Amino acid sequence: MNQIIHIFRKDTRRCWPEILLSVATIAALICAYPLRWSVLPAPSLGAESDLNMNTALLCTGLAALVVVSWAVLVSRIVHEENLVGNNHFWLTRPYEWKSLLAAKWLFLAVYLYLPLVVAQWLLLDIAGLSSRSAIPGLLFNVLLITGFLVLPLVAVAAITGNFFRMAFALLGAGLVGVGVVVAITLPGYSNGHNNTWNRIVLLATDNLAAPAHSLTSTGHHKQLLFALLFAAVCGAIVLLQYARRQTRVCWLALLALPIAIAMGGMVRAHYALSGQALIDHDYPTVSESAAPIELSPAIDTKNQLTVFRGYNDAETPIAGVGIPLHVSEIAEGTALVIDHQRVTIEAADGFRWSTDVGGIPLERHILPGKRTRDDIYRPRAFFEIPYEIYKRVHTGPVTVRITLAMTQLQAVNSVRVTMPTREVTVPGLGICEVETVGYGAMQCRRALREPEITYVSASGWSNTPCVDPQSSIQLTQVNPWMGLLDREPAEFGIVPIQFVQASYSWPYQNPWGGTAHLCPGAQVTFTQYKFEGRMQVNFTIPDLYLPPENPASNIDHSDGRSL
Amino acid sequence: MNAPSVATHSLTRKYGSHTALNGVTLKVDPGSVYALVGPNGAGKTTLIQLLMNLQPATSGAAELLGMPSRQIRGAALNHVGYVSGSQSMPDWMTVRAMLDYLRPFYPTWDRLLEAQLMRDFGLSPKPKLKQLSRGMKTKVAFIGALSYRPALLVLDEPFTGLDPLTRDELIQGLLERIGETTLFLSSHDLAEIESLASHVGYLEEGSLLFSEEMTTLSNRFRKIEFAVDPASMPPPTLPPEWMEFERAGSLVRFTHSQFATEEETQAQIERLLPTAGEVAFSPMSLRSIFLTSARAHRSGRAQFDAAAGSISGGKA
Repeated sequence: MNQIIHIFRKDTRRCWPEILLSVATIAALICAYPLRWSVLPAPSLGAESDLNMNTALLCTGLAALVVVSWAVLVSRIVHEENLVGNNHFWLTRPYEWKSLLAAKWLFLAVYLYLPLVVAQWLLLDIAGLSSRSAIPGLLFNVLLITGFLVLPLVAVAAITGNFFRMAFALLGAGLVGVGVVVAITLPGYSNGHNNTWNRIVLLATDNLAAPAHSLTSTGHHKQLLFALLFAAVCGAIVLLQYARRQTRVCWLALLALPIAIAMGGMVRAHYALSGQALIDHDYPTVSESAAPIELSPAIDTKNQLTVFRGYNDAETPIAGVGIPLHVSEIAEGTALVIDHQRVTIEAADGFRWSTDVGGIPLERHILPGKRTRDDIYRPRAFFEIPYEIYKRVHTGPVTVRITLAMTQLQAVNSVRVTMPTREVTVPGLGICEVETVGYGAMQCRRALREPEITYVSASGWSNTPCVDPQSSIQLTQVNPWMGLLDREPAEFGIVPIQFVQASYSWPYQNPWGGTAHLCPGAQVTFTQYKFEGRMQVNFTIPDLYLPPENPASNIDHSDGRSL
Repeated sequence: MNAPSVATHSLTRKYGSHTALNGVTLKVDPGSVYALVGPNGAGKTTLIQLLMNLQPATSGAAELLGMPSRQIRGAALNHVGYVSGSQSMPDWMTVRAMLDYLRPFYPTWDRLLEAQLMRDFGLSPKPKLKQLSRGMKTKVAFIGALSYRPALLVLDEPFTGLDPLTRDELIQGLLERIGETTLFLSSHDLAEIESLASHVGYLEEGSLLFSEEMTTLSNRFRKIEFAVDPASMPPPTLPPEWMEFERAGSLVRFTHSQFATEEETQAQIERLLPTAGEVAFSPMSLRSIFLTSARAHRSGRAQFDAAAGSISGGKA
């Protein structure tokens, strides 16, 4: 213990400028970050956007500086007793490696973790979010920061001889990472989305099985897994280097880590090239009768089966098909989120063709009561097929099978709030505020992680901005969901505050057909849901005749140009 | 009987295909001053780094104070001091801070000795190490290594680049420790160890050519000169202990590396070269012994063959 304290005191004397730099950077971040929610609304949307963007950039820059100051700090204390090379004076002194390592961690605990946790607590306090319940999340975040940042920094410092080599190694690792991502991503984009290469990329990056949007994603669960993996490998490197100074072995282990992750992804991709296989894994099949909803074609004069011709991103001619559907009511308190859709067409002569997994879901989320407006808005099963396929099958009746991969949610509690002109605390969600200018969006801030998945409904939507009625802004539908299904107590980050927004979606999904502003005074209901289960259901529509293409609606799907 | 302070057994270190140290076996008894000499690149630093557990051996073994060298770390270093001319120091510390920092590591640290060495070496505690000259830094390193009275002090080229005055001061400091501390030092400058060493080892291209007491070494090397009949025929082969054999007219000169007595050597010469006249025996300096050994090692047996040829051909 004496040796630990002795080395710690020496390192403190040695590194006080770096300690000051690190603490000052964190202090600057604490001072600047509240600007993200305390800036007064600007008179115009453009100015407000610039202000928000500048504030966000400042905070991101300061957070990046904090990480850089940590890298400098780690380099200084690790390289003070350099582990690479044989001519360092400490190597021939009676240092106990365990004491040396403990002294370094004591230093990091006092000058890195302590200021971080204090800063995070202060920031939560300033944001009005501090509470005892945040402590597990703060500790969890410390674990993530250790796995993703501190241990990798210590490991790289332990196997490099000085700060410049360490920085070069980190920069090199970053460039290789970016290069690999670019190398595997660019061919995917250039060849269109529905190809094998793109699917390999998605599989390798573990995104294919995840829902098309983040609402029901559980991908964040993997941050703990990856943090533990990084911590295990980097921790082993640090231990080995301090105990044995096996620099070459440690370098190999460090290089093996990203290679193993990439290889794991690629192997997974190799064995599961069929997206359907992964969907089958995550979404058990249930029979049509056991499904919580029923789908049936609902084609009438108002809602016709439509076909248009266009081009996809790969400039391949396609036919876009939209089938109006009647979607049945679902049980009270239940919500369905459609994560994936797949459509299969079978012609009378046995010809069969399927869309890729993913596609465009007929509707992202289905809630009780929404079908009451079926008369003015009817969901469509929309999909694209190659134009030559369309030419082959449109002359006769086809059977269409729609496979929906869905997440079922169950409401657990509901809170109704009258939105004030400024902030309001919404239990379970955080501190929320509605923009009085611009898009009239609602933004909430919350400690450490996004809230449990929550549906926001309001009785006071306005078709015009709440102020500035001259605004010509064309708004579209509000995406009423906030939060995530994840159960982890915190998300990785230097700053412990998460922002969630009731944001906007695409015009064709807008059931109200016009702009939508949530204004102060509106009655807003926040319904929190819990995860109930996942399933896939196959709906069959027999004897469907695909009509001739509608020239009026032909578009180039890739850039929207008319044909 | 005490365990040797240093012992190596067929110690070998290879870097790829290059053999830096080739099966070195030596033993250093407690209380002795062992000088490891050899030219640059001979493997002296490699041997010392293996002893100090600064790098692993490819094969063979080494022991310090009875402990395997691979265990020389942590508390084991309480008994071993190490100074190297190429060792980096915490330059940001002052002399005082450096000694203050080192002191708690060693239970046997002698503050009086530290103060005495500070006085003897004429060091001020105030300057930072980075402000000191190379000689002054070496003095600090010596104080840091001597003040805890280690049983073994390993010095790797400690005097390289130092002015004669500083070198003498340091040697004086070491001489005062002889007896309580075993010294194992390396050098490529023979003059700096001649006054200090009791034992000497000579390393050449990774191989230890000899390792023995200084007096034994001096006694077994002699420069020998005599005259022969220019027409006389030399023996077909020369004894291997006759090194650097040369002949200029009637004058023959060589170095005897296994000299025992004048009578015995004279008898050997007369047996091989019957026309030899009166033989002159000259003791050799350490420098001459090492240079002769190095040249002989490098040229190998070819030199002897060439020397034999020169005699048969009457070559000068």
